[in-house]
Amino acid sequence: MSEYPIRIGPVEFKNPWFAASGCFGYGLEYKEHIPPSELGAVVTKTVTPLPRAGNPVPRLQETASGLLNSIGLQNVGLEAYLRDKLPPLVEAGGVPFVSISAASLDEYARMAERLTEFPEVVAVEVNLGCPNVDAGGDRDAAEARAVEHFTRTVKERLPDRAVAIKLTPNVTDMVPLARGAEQGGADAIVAINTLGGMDIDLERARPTFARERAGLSGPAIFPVALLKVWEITGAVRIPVVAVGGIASEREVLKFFMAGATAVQLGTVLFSKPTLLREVRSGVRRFLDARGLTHPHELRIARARETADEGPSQEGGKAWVPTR
Amino acid sequence: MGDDEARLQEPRSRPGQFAMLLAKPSQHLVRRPMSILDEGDGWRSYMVKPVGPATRELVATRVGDPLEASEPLGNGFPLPEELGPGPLLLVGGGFGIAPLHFLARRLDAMRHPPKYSILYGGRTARDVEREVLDDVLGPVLPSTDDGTLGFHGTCVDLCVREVERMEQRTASAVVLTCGPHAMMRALFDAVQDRVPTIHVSLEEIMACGVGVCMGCVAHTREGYVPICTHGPVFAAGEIFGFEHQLSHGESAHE
Ligand SMILES: Cc1cc2nc3c(=O)[nH]c(=O)nc-3n(C[C@H](O)[C@H](O)[C@H](O)COP(=O)(O)OP(=O)(O)OC[C@H]3O[C@@H](n4cnc5c(N)ncnc54)[C@H](O)[C@@H]3O)c2cc1C
Ligand SMILES: Cc1cc2nc3c(=O)[nH]c(=O)nc-3n(C[C@H](O)[C@H](O)[C@H](O)COP(=O)(O)O)c2cc1C
Ligand code: FES
Repeated sequence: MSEYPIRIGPVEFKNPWFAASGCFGYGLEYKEHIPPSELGAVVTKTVTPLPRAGNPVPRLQETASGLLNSIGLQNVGLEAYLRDKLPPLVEAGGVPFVSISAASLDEYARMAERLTEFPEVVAVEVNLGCPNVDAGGDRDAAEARAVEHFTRTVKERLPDRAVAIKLTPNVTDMVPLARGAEQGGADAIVAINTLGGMDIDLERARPTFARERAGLSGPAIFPVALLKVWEITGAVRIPVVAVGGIASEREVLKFFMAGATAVQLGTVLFSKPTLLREVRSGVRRFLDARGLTHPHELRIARARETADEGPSQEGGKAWVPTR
Repeated sequence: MGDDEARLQEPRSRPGQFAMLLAKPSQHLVRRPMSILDEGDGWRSYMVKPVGPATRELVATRVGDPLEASEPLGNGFPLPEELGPGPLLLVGGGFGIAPLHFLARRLDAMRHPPKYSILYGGRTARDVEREVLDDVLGPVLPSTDDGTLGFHGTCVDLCVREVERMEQRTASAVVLTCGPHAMMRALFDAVQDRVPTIHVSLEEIMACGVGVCMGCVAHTREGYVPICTHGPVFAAGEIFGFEHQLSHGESAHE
């Protein structure tokens, strides 16, 4: 069912509804609520070269309209992923958008080379934004040149796949990072990963999480994500995949208006795994009521747009609200 | 009884399973895990201790109010036929009594109910909600740390006494327990030499309840596993034998 096809680099996706990394497991855990085949792509839990144990508990804490997590990229590792998790997802009709993270350029190179042997992995998301690990976490990728090198290392080896770079918002300005990714040959930017945050256990008078710092997600971060997406779509020509705080079709529509090409549902899936259905029908209704045929037509003109920073995609014509 | 009727009455959830719950509407983002206290035709009940904002919302709802609720989740306690012939000791600390209540109700409904007793401990008489167990047929032995109700001491001490009493008469007991982590650990330490089969029901903060977020892990022989899918009920040795071997998150990187 290709309702609103979109393109990211060399790959066409049947729709712009993606599941966010870490919020949809390896793609089948929620299959009763969302068959993976209904999503444009399933961004899988980030995998690392070797299995990772993750962080000690507690790993979660709800905050006002948000969720702090300190999972620490617990995952089965690339080889077990390719052997055990990838085939059933493909079997179920899911499009695997494999999220990877590594601690060095060398490790990224080896992961990318291994992935060349798996043509069913049509897309790779490079997670440069995790706040919950030391090596290879957001602080190692908070600089444009580092982002560019990581990007080039992966993209050079996977020219025929969609390579998206997921960036951290935990910097003064994400735009240089996004430009670094574009320079390095990225096919898309994914924004945003979780915001750094923390909590303190009042009874024990000590930080709630062993690593002290954790990642904030959920509705609380939506306005931040929207601003970052807006800034990045105004600065790069490659597609931007928006993620952060989606709780209904309203946030999805706003991301499209800010110029996003696709969206990822994250934390909301934990309590509303069926939200995809509402998003779909809500977006369709909104478009139909305005005589529009594709979400990219929602992209709004910006007063401060310069000639050289125009809309990144053909068809991204400005839409003038009718009411 | 027709086939359809039989199917209707077929129990839907296993004792020890939980549901993810929030009041509806709620101020909160993620649903909270609650053990199933009992279930019948078209209803399910829970016993909620108001320890924070989301549980206070739940406590303020009335019977019949709508809830944001998931399907029954997790593995549940092993069934008597999986446990062998020994008498069952169901040891509940505080609100850990909820899944054991459901288990006792299910045992009572069996054609040949196994022998079981419920040991129910609290700090004082006020922490022991004895009425919750009024509809249970098996014997209930309450205990309080301060001696205001039942056995004077912890439910761990009481369990040791019961195990010793039984040893003289029957096959060794099977212990199924749910309560504060420290209590279950103490219970394991106290009776593991004499009780080969001990199952514990664990708690951890959860978000998804279905093994997606990796937030609710316990450390076992296999490393960190999600409690919501691999548990909440574990063989006690799986948990307490490995608690001290926690590997640090970074260790898996080269
Ligand atoms: C499988 C399972 C079954 C449970 N069954 C019951 C039950 O039958 N009755 C009942 O009253 N409670 C039960 N709990 C515990 C219950 O889920 C928590 O008390 C609840 O999530 C607290 O939410 P809150 O917003 O009110 O409090 P918060 O403000 O979120 O937390 C208050 C305190 O409780 C701790 N806490 C938070 N979430 C959990 C959790 N999931 N498990 C343990 N401690 C937690 C926090 O660390 C904090 O110290 C169960 C937990 C699990 C994992
Ligand atoms: C429990 C949890 C685990 C996550 N794990 C990952 C991960 O492995 N890799 C990654 O790139 N992002 C991970 N994220 C971040 C999400 O993909 C997303 O960027 C972020 O949560 C913001 O979106 P949201 O507000 O819709 O959840 C995780 C988020 C949560 C809540
Ligand atoms: S609550 Fe998400 S893995 Fe258990």
